[in-house]
Amino acid sequence: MIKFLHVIAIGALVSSAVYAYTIKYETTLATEHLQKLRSKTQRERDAIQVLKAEWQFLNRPDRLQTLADRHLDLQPFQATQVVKPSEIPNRGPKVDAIGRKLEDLGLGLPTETPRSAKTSATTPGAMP
Amino acid sequence: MTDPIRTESGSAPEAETVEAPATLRSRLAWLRDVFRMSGDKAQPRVGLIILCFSALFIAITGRLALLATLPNEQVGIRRASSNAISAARPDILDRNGEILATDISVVSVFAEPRKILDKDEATELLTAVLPDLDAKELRDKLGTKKGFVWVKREITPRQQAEVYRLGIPGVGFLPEHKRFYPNGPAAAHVLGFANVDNIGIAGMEKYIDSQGLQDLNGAGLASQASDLKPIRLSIDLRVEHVLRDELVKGMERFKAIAAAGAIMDVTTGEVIALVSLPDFDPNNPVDALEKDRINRMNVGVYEMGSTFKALTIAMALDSGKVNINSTFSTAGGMMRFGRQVIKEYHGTGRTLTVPEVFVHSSNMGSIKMALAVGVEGHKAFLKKMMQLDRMTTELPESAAPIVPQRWGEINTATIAFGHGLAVAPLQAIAAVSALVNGGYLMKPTFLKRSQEDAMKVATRVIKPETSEALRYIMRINGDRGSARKADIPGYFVGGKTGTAEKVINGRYAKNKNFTTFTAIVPSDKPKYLFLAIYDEPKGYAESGGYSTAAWNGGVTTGKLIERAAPLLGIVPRFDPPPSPFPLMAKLGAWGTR
Repeated sequence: MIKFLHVIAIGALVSSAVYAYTIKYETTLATEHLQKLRSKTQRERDAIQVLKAEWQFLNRPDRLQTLADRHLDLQPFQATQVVKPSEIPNRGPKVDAIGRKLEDLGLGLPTETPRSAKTSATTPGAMP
Repeated sequence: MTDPIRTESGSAPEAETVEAPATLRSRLAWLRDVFRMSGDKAQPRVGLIILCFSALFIAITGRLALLATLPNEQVGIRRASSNAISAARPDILDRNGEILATDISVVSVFAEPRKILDKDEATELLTAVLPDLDAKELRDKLGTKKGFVWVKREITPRQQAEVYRLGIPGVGFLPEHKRFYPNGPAAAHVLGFANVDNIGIAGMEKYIDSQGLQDLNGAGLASQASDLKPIRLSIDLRVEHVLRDELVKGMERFKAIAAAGAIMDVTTGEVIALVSLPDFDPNNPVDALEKDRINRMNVGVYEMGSTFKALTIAMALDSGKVNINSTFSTAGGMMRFGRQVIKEYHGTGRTLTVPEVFVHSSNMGSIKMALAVGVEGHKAFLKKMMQLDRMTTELPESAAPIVPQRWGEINTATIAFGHGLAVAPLQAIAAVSALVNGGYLMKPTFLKRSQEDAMKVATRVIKPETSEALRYIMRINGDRGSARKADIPGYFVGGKTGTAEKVINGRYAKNKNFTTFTAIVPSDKPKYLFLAIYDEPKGYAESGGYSTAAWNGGVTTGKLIERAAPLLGIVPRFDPPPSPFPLMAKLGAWGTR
């Protein structure tokens, strides 16, 4: 009986030790993983910072002006180009340009269309 | 087991020998008694052993505590470098969120001289990889007893790899922050710059430090830029560039030795753009501290010339002693003050009303107005307008105005048309803003702020009616006076030229001018004030040899308004506002009919 208790005690001791070590190693692993992720985010953050700076560096007005002068044939903005919304003229009455042209050509009459499907011999209907 | 006991028995008596031989003898007898092998002596023996072991364990515990509290080697490096490593700084953004200054990470090489075994070899290897290092200086550095020295700051990734491959013990890398200004010289004078340790040396960078950033770093906080809130300036990068571009072109065309300019929001006191040429690149500020690179808007003081007539007229109108229809005789074309004679520049010889005095830039008219108010009144008014004291803004650099020591009638007479009192241009435009924005004087700021916040710090200095009169005469001057060059159609520009002769060796030099041009847009409800300054501009073919303000400052301001107004969101209007100056029309001022 005593021996059995001893075995149980030793077993419990060993398993608790194993469990404790597992936990410890898992923690170490997780810490390492966390550290890695942290340094990775830091690297990414630094990279973002550098890219932002580079973006601004490439988009500095000085450079844009030089490039625009060299490659674009745009004119400087004129104050007269600004129009208030109220100054935009209303849209004129709708004109059917194609219809008018057809009328001029004498084709303005409505095309004769067959009144019913029965009289039409040419239209292939659904065969019964 | 007997070992500790023996030491105990050996050392304890030695300490006592000198003072009491009698007690020593009795103690020795007692010890002998203790070690005599016998059963009844067990009690004291056990006690002694307990004592010894207790002492041993206390010593071990003490040592453990010592190890735990004292910093170890790794922490030592961090501590040694924490003072040396460059601190993080917040980003600086413009009013639209564009980056003006940011931190980027770089790597620096350091060494721990105490840990380097062969210092000569280390020196040789390091100089081979980093050729721009001075070998002798490096050897001296490594020869010191210090725990931490920099070998080289801010190296490239490739150099880092090479140094790493050398594998010298005691040589390592530390990530650091380097300040970067992506826009180069744009807004250089506003931003200032930071040194290699990322400590602000000038401009807003220094201002940020003075706001407690250094204390944060000292406490070990804020080592990352992301921990810090970005600083948002009032500067608009696009407008800043336009201003600089036009001034650079102008300086070349008019062959001026220096130029400066500013754009200010008169309703909030925000400085939208500020340029002073020649300037510098804050990324490489080697020439930033040269004398001609000063911020002329803030650190230079100048006689502002006729621009000051606006102040004189405002003072006279506001005092009630003069109204918009008062007349001033300019007959004779000169005035005498003791031995001094003051002449008219564009003499008319007629009797002029107040708007005419401004449009013809009549010295005599201005003098008579100032004298109507009197010397004391003049002084009090300029004091109220912040023209007699040093103006402090966020920028740490500033200059005090040069005020005459004894202020007599002659001084009032000359200051009335802008000579004899030298002020910083920024100070002058702050005053002009107050004249046109309805009478609210506010200190210019380089930080973004809303109109409500601005009104909280503003003080009323003149009546709204006087402000309307000033807007009116500036508009008249833009329409048909000397400011015509800047009258870009659609923007309803008002302005004033100012040409002052430079003082060379205590005399006014006839051929060396300092020209200023102030413009307000739009005149009926001003939002922005433009200022362009040229130092010693020369005449050119189209100007017929003239080098007065209209021919340089005026031309530049005109172009500036044309380019900057759309960026600033000013809507052009081609039909004039129905009733821009109701009071002036009611009073029937000159030029309204």
